[in-house]
Amino acid sequence: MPLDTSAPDPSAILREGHPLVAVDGPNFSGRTEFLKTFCARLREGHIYVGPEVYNALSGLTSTVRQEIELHYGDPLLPLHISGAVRELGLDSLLDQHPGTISGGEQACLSVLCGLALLPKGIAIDCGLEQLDQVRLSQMLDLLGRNGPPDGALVVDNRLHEWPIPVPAVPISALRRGPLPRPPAKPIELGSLGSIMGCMAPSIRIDNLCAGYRRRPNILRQLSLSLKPGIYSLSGPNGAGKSTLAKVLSGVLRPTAGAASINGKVAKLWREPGRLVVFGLQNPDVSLFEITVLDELRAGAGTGPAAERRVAGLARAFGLTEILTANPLSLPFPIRKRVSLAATLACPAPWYFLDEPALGADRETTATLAELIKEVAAAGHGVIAVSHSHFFHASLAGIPLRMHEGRIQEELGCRQ
Amino acid sequence: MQPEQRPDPASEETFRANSKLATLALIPSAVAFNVAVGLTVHVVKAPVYLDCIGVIATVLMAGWRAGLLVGVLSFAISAAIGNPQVIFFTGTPIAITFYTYLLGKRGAFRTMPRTIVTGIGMGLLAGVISAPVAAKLFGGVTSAGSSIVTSFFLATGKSLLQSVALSGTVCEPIDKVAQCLIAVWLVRSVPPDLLARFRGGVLQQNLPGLDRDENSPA
Amino acid sequence: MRIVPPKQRLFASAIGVLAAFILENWVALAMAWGAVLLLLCIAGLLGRYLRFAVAVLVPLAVMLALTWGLVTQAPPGAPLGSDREGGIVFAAVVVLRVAVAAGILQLCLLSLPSRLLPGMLRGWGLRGEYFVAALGAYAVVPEIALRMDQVVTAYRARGLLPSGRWAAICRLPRLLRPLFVWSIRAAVQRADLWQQRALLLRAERLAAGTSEWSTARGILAISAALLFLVSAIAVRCKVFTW
Repeated sequence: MPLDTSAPDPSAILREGHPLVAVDGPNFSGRTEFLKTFCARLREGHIYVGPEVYNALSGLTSTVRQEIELHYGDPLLPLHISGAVRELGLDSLLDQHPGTISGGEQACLSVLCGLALLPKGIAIDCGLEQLDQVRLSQMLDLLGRNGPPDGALVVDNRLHEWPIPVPAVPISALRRGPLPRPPAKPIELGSLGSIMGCMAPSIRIDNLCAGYRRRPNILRQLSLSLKPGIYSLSGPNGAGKSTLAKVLSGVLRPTAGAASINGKVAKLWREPGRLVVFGLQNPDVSLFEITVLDELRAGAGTGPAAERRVAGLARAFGLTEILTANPLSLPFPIRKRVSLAATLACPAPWYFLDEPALGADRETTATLAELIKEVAAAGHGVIAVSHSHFFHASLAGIPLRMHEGRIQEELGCRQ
Repeated sequence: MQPEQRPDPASEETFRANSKLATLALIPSAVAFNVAVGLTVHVVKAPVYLDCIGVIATVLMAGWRAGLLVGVLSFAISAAIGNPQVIFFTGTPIAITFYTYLLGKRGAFRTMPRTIVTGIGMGLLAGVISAPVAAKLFGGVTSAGSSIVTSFFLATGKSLLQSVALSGTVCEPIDKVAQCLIAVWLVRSVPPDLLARFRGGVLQQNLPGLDRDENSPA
Repeated sequence: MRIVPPKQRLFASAIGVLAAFILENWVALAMAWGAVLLLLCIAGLLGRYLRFAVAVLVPLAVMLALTWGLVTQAPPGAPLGSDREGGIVFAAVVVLRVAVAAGILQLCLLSLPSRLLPGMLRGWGLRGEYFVAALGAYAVVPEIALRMDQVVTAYRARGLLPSGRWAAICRLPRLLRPLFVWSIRAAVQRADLWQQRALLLRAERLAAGTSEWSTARGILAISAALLFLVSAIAVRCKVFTW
């Protein structure tokens, strides 16, 4: 990409003693291209950690311990790194497969392993967005104290929520020429109310226990009462948010506890995806069809009402110009948008949305929050998970916080 | 700091080196995909194997060498973590690799009818290759579906080897046609910018609608 | 923990499997199977083997018994209906052979901690690209199994997976698409990562010599395998009879 050589040089800011510099800008403004070009210009030096952190690990090791050893070349780690492993909570995962740990943990591992190569600098492209606030603070502290000599260049859509202020250079100042045309139209508000009408029932779960074969106690006697509206669910990585989603959507059968719908006992696992539709965090596992239009239609079904729903969602999410595109060939933020629209295309009373604004810039995040509010205003229940305070503030939902398999704060319904 | 000159990204040598690395990285992914498909087929109890989709797709994208490694490693790993029986049938993916490459060079996957015919031929080949192993080592029984057909031929007085070979020629083409169709369909789903990273395959002859720039830098 | 070295492990396994297929006597095979079960128990692999036995060996035994005991009622080469007992014995021999061979293969490949896999691959003579391909193939399998689970979860969680078995089978190709594209994207991004971080050179270091290989155990393994082979030949040649 053409760089503006008269623009402030991020490396100059880094050399002034700032360990971190951000490249700020909206989606599709060339930030990623800038980071990659910047890394390539300095042949020996900069490590690039991309947004798809699950592919930022080697794929050659069977345990986290091996992955660290692969990069450090020695089972005995430098003191500050072994300390960082403990602080970031990776010490409890050393014998786990690196491909099966959470996205936030993979981001930490990838950055930590990148530092092992003693790079001159490190460029992190949206990789830190999946970290909860605690781990984010620890990672920023690590980069500040023990980062590479030329510092770290970061792109992050949640920069303004970071616990420490970071000097930022706008992308518009770094590149020449107009911004590239976004691959999709902007999100259009105000159109979902007419196509998404529902009277969602109340859901209650009592003393729910659920887990998996190797980790049976993820949810521990969790009790929760949900009335139609918006719920903002937060919590550290590994708290059980996705497991809760699977139980509510009927994909995972609980080992104990009971669920009821409008007061009547219900076995949610009998009909997965009927009462609660779960939209996963990673869009790449949720796109099944050859075109965007087919993806929306798959969930909406057939008939005139379904077609109206599909058309309305396509318009609302700005997908009308890319309906014939292969969803898997679109950029990550658009794939996420298609996945979210496809989830909402399913005519279910409740939606559990895992990080619906992942990869979205600040403006788009606020707009997505408004869109989700429209869905709730039409009578649906929505539970939205995010690590972003800004998103939760925009959503203005009832806050729920999970920790170690339980709801820490259950405030009930304010409606 | 003066920015150092980076190599010309469009240079053929750089592209070839990057393409080779991409192909090497493709092999584990394709192997793992093969193994995962096999496990899923087993879970849903589908009456097919679908254990060579990754092999066919790899040959189409990256050529016979990569396909061969994918085939051999897939069967070795499936034997290690699932059913050790399959290791004795490693000859089948080897044969399928060469068959796919040789016919793929002639555009055998260009259209659906051609793909179906290619799949039938692949099934006959697989049936013939696996028959001696199934007959000699496993008494002619490898799966529920094929054993029923084998029993039928045995009951008509045919020898074990003949019965297994005939059973293979009945059952295998169905499985291999499905695998060829699915493999081509999957390769078509891959974004062109990703496909462009691989060389040595037979994509140009079989998926002419793809817009691949041979000289595009990795 | 002292472990059989890679080459001896491979040779002993190959000899053991060969011996299993030489044996035609079901009593001798049953004894061999007992020995293999004991070794699997010592190696901590018995549970895994029994799961394989239930999933594969039991259906195999049933199908073989039906084919050779009910349909042909004779072993291969004999006239149909002439020797029902012989047909069932043949079925038993085939199942036991598979049981013994499978147990030996699992002992060879699964009794090793994953941290020693790079060393084992190098010990088998794999170098360069072949080493990386084999190492990566084994390493990526759990990750893709997780992705497959996520794909199925995403599909079910939208209410798209029908309840009938055949309907679910028909949807299988759709489920494979995101998994396949993810595999390709992962390959391309990992290739870039390997280049950037020079990881292929570093991977060779994982295979550095280990002090956990035990020559004595290697000799023991080869000796046991050779003893099994000699016994199998002797039984086959009717030097020993039951």
